[in-house]
Amino acid sequence: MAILEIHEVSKTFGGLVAVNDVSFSVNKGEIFGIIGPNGAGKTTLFNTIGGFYGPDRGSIKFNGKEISNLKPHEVCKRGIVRTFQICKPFPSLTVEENILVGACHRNPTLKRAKRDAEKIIELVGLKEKKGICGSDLSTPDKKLLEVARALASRPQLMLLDESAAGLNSTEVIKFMDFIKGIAEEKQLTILLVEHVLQVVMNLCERIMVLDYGKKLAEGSPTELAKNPEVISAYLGKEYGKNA
Amino acid sequence: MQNFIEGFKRHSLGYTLLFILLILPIITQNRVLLSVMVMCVLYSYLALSWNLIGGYGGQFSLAHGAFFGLGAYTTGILFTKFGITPWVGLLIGGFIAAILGYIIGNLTFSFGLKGFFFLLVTLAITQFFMEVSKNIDFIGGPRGLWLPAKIGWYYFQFRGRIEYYYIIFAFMLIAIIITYLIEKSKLGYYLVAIREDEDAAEACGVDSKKCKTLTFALSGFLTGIGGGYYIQLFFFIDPFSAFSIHLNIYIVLMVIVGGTGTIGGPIIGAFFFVILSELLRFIPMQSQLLAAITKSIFAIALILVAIYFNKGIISLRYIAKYLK
Repeated sequence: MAILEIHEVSKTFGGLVAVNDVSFSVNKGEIFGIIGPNGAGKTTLFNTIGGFYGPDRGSIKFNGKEISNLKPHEVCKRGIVRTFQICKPFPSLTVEENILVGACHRNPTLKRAKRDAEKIIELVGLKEKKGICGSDLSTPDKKLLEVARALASRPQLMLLDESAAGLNSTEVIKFMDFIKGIAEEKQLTILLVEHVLQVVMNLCERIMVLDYGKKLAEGSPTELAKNPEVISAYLGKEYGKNA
Repeated sequence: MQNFIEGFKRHSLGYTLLFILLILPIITQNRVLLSVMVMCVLYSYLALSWNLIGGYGGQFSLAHGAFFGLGAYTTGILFTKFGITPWVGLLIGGFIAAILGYIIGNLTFSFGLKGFFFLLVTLAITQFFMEVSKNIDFIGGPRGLWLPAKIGWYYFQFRGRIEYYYIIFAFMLIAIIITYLIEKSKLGYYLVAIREDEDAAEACGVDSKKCKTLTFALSGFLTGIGGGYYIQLFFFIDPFSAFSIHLNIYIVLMVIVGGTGTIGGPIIGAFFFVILSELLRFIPMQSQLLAAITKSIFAIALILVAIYFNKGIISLRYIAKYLK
């Protein structure tokens, strides 16, 4: 059952076509990856789904309803939450307060939002650091906070934008297990953009490849690893020829 | 009850200062001191009002001159032309300012006007009102509006300073309470989130346009009431003193130097500037160099704050705690 349906979405900035006629759907409960070289339009696609841009053409349906005309906070309220490539914690708020901001719109009173935030801090494992200000966190902790704050909005679909970037190989494994665990526990659907192929290959059930804004291929990790077009896009045409 | 006692201990300095301010007219009969204190408290009130959208919200508004002037003129006109008591005129002035704030907010925040551009648009609005009011004879044009002297509570005019003092002190208390309630509410967290990172706030479900517009209107409402008080204090208003960008900037400086996004900051900043400018009057102007330096004390204060404590004078409180 498709939770997100992207149909012929295009987004142009002046002369640059960032996203070119892209269509795909994400099924409920799956972990779907989007990969592609830098500049392929992945983050633009995320921004468009998240409501930061409106698509110039095409439709975006979430749970069957059109969301392409909604503002970011409305998209969030519908159940899609997005993390950012460069972590954006609120610098002068503590970890606890950061998560609280995310929990506020799901709770009628501040008190209940605080309780929500407490539970998420426990779940994510930031309890000892809950009083630390956003600006003083280490990079892995900032990423945890991004995810925690996103979870506070009680999403059905989470958009993770290059969350594994900047992590070393041990941290990547830890992070992957963490995401998998959260997805199962909260029954989340996850759409992620990644460059770290370790994450993509091991975590994602299905992957889509973007190149120059166009959809190049879609399939399971093993299928795509053998796809000559995908290989040429990533590694260059010589490698693609030999596939 | 326990929470109240803890809160009292934490802010004991603040409560003590408030208490001193409360009993000040009883301790001293010095009319000059009382006049200075009236100005200190008035500016504290105006600074607290601006702080809601400027400090917590991070939106640097120069439209507060417009709010102030609207409040002053509304109160003045309603009384001089229609005989309406300034107490009601104040509220109506505040509402008109709030409506202006709502309109500006909706227009600017819909187009995502931020930072510098927001500042320019709000500056233009205050300037607009100043120019327009110069040309409306009904409100006195460039010569301004005089209040007929009629002493009494109904007329909101008093011979001495004591009544004026307690009225503005009450207004300041209300502004403090409003700031506190907002700070501890969802809106307070939303405003700080918007100030620190509007995109991330939106992604968390914060309706930034609604929050900013609402706070802007509220800030305008309070500032408008401040304008109404001002005309009752001086019996006079004209386009230059009403729609004063200079006053707006002065208030912004007070909040920045005192500490944005706090309750104590605007008050400290206001007292600092008003008392300093009063003290400067007593410096003998024998040395021209000395005179020049003392006159530039505000600029110096701002630079010091910007370099050494950009969280404002109020951040010294944390340093004191840290040193313990």
